[in-house]
Amino acid sequence: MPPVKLLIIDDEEDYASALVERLNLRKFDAAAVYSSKDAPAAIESHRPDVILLDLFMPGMDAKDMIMTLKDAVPDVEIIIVSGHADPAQDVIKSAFDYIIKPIEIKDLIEKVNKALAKKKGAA
Amino acid sequence: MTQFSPDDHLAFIGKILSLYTHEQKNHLAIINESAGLLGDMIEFSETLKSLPETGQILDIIKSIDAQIKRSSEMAKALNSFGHRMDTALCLLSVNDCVKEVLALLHRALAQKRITIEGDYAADMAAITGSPSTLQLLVFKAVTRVAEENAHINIKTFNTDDSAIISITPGIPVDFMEDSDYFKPMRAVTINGREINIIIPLK
Repeated sequence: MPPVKLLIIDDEEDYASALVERLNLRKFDAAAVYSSKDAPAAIESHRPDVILLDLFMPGMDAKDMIMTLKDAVPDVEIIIVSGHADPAQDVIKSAFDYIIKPIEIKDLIEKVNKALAKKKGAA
Repeated sequence: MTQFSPDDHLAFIGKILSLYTHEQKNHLAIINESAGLLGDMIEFSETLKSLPETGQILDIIKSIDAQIKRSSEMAKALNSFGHRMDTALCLLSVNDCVKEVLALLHRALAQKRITIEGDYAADMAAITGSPSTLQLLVFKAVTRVAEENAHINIKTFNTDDSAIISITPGIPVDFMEDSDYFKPMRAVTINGREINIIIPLK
């Protein structure tokens, strides 16, 4: 079975690159981009199953970004990963799930697996 | 016309606190993932094709160190911000008050790609006043510019009877006209493009 593909969109490069390595050690196929403008090309080349999206990035409106991502890859599941403890409810509802930084990697993987189960159920 | 009240002041403090804690959580997240990656290198060492190189490990440690420094700088700004409110009136440095608010607003400004250039007079007179009211004024003036990609110039200087904070581009200052809340400080708009916050020296 091919590895599950994850794309991390987060402007904190050290955070995203370390998380990519940690997820890949756990047999995922993870990649990262550090700005919202680089996301479309990464989606095109990486074709992620699940996207881990930072909520607040320079020049990005989170709700618009989620809509853009879903337009580009309709069956992708999006998990918001943010330091914001109380984001707007409409933003949370537009994504599959929400997790607050700093994260426990086992909690993140659990949410990713739930997102995958939903994706498979919908297929 | 907007009248100001203590609720506006609390909203300002709430905004500063939420920005600060959000940023701290980002720093903690980087430390968490970096430390986790070091742990993984040991835990997964038997399955790794090659052992991590010393340089890679040092880079991860440097990343942790950098986040601790970022966190410490922000904590220092919030600490002095809080201490300034210990008393309603005190002898204050205008330059320090302005720089402190901008440091705490860093994340919010970066999100809108707003850049700030400061030109702070070295000989600014210390004034007696309410630091948090002055910082609320600076906060309002800067955040109401609010256009994405804006470049804001902030300059401080003295006149014979006042300390001035000049902010370009400016905004209409109707938000503080007819308001006693900021007295004795006041703001004026110059040529519709610059706001001057004027703090009487006496």
